[in-house]
Amino acid sequence: MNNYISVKNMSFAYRDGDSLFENFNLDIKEGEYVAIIGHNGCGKSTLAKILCGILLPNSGIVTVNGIDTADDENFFEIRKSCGMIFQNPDNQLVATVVEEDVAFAPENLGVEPSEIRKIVDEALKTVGMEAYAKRSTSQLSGGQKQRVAIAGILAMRPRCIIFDEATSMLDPEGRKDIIAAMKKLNKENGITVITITHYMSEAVEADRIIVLNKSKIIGDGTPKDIFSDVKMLNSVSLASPQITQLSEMLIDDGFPFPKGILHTMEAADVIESYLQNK
Amino acid sequence: MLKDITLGQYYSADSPIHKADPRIKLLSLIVFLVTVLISKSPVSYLISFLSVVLLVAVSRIPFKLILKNLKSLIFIILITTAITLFISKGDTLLFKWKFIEIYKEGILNSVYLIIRFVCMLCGSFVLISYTTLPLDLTEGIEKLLKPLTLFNIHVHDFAMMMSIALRFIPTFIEETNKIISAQKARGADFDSGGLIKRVKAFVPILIPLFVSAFRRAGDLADAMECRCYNRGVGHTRMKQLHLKWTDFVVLFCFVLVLVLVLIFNRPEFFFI
Repeated sequence: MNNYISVKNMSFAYRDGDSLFENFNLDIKEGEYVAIIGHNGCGKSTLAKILCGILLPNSGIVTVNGIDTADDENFFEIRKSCGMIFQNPDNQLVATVVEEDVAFAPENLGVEPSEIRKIVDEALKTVGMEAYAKRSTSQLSGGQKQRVAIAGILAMRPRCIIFDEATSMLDPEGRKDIIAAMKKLNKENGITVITITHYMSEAVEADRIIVLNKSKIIGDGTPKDIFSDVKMLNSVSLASPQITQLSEMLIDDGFPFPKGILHTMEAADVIESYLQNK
Repeated sequence: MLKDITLGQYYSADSPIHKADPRIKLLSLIVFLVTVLISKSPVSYLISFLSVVLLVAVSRIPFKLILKNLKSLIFIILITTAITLFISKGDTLLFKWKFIEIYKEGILNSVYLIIRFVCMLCGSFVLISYTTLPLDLTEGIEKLLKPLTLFNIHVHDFAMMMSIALRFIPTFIEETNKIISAQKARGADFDSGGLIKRVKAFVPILIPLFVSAFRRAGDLADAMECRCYNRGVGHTRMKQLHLKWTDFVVLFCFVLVLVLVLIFNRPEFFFI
């Protein structure tokens, strides 16, 4: 499959700070579900903004769907190809009424009014918020606001959505909803999903995990690979999911446990079959 | 503490005024304010007053609600009226006590002033606050001021700022309440001491509020950019405003009142 986002020899520094990225390379394929994990201040959020073109690199090339993000003439094309969901649900809703907010992007793009109506209804349906179309945005819960924000991005019909710690300000219920939405968008709608998170339980859901430390990629692979590499994770003091830690301990104690268990139910199955065979 | 602030006093009802186009309502309000301001004769004032009563009746907003709102402004009305009463000089002296002189013209002027106040306030309540949703209002203002774009004034920016301000009012109220609780938990005292001390106590609320407002503004700018915001260049609207024939009837009624007032402003109608 083609690379949807590609970063080549990218360097970046904020105007008044030290350089953050140097000779950074990253490729993300179309239709991938990628999680980027790492500690606070490792450059995750900056990377997200560079990937979707809000920030431009000082040197090197970032392309989205083959278009250089530094290319001013394709401003709308880049925005349309790659949407972004931010951390704070309150700070990204523009309008006071749900459907008006979802209509914001197509309105900016100058889509015909009747067509906007269709796009808005479709986007709200995809995130399961169609019943709230006429509601005031201030009456929604955090998770619902975030779903409206996703609908607002979907209204541009992007091929890729970046979630920048989109679940970190939500309650567990809201977080579950958003993770389910990410999965659905990726599996059913074929949208490339990049999620930036420090919840390991969220990263586990992805197909590919990229570990970032001090603006460098120190791990890149499937969740199984990444969370089995305890040494690498420890070196940046990231912890694997609790169930993975438990299975590592069981392996150390001599139980015939397979490596790289990520989900609780998976572990339960293993233990069940072990007990039955005994 | 901040719960009591009523934001937008929209009163939901099914009336021709509610259904009217926001642009027409804004224009009608301007016509009506002019009408009230140029009223001179007693008959004109009566016409203005009756038209406001009719307007309230047509809009199906309870008179009680209007009176309640007027009550909160009664202080300003009374003070201005009293000043007019004592300051006005005229030909017929009715009452004199030491330096206080009350003339017939003074009494008339203050009655007129009360009518003016009531008409202008009720007119704006009914045409705008009670019957127009904030978003429709901004849209109406943007459309009405559109000709100003010829003079290089970005009307869209102005309308966008207004609607974002409206959108963030509940967010900031929530935030202020959070900050107040946080500062109280740290031992801040907002409820005792003199006026100056109380005002000073609000500084630790305002500073975090401002800091967070700027952070929110930065985030919002990024989010808007991500959603292709381009200062309204070549944008469309999902909900289009359509002028209906009923809208013109509403505007025509107001123009009619204006014409009536102009006719009855003629000298022969000054019989008092």
